[in-house]
Amino acid sequence: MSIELLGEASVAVRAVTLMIAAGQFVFALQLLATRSLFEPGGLLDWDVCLRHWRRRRNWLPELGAPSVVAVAGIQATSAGAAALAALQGWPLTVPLAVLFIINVFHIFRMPLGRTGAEDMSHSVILALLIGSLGSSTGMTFALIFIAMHSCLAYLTAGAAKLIMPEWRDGSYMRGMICTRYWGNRALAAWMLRRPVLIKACALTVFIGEMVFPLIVIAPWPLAITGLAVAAAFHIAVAVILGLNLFLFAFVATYPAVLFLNLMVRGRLL
Amino acid sequence: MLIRDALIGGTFAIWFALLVIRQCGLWKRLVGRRDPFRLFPRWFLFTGVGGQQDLQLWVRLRLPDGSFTDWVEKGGKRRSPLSALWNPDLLPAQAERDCLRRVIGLRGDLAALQRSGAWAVIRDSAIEDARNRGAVSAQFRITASRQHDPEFVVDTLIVSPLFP
Repeated sequence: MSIELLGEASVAVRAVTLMIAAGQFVFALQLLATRSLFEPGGLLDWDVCLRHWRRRRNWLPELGAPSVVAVAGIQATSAGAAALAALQGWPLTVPLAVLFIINVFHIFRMPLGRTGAEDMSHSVILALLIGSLGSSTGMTFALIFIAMHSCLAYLTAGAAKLIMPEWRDGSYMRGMICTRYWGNRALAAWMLRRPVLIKACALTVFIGEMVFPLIVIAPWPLAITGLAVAAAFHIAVAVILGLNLFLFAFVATYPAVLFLNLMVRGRLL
Repeated sequence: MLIRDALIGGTFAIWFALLVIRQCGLWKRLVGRRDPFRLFPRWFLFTGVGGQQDLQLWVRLRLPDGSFTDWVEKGGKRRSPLSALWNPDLLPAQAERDCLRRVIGLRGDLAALQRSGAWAVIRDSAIEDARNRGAVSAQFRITASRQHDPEFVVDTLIVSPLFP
């Protein structure tokens, strides 16, 4: 497939939908694997949820806790339906609407444990849903929004790190790789012997984030290369830090970024 | 262009503008409301203290004879090494961290802390052990550390009074 096919809104939408659906599917399966968290006494049991939203415990006695297993099952099914619809060129509105509603449910059911990956996925799903309610022009607007939101996210993340001395001198990254949560013993031991490498990695991260928006105006071979490097960054983050859902959520925006690049540079088919 | 498409375009334009406002920190002044549907996330990833520290929850029990048990770490989920595409440990680990950060944030307001979901987690972590050992009360402590950094000294952030 020629990369310039992504200049067609319908093709770009399908690519975005496929990646987002994959991420939603993995999220649902992970939810099922950790369903004990939502049972009484678990980290995210119904009492924790209600207390977080400042409701009295006896406010909903007859409803009880919604079944996370059922919700995760619906989410996985809807993700599969969205992927199938994307592959077949069928309308996406219904599976996207279900996924959006499920994600809203998760916002309220899981007051703890949310990451930026869920926020980006949520945003992309809603954008595609809104776009699907219009014609191909509506979908074009959705793709432009997804691409610009992605660029804004990277630019903000990079700029926020740039102004921190701990990122500029590498000490933040050093701290991060030494934690049990984000790092691991072998990697920490190896990198602590190489402080220059730590600093170089830190600089690469936030400079790379800040220049990501330039992909929109870059010549398309450079744009492809830039997106490939960004995808490799997310793969590394998934392997090293365990943030697997970021890979799906952010790489899902790349077809939209490429679509915007082709549109900006006037190379639509 | 259909009117529908124009409305869609306008919706995205407003949404994006509000996202930009959110990143600039003008949110509270201009909008003044929270974001219950998480449509306006702030992308300040890995810029807080939390990215450089592990947080641990420790609980000890007071037994009927007045003595205390040793401090025992609760939670502390380890991540599996193969987590590139499949990482179910992400949610419980992140939830634990969020819980402890929330407790740290509420430590100046005991009443608010005790109404919070984070408090329910803390309390639940001690209940089963307390029942099994016939304890009359419990106490928790939150520490910050970096497990793989030989230079980092464990820092005690909170030591609670006995509860109940």
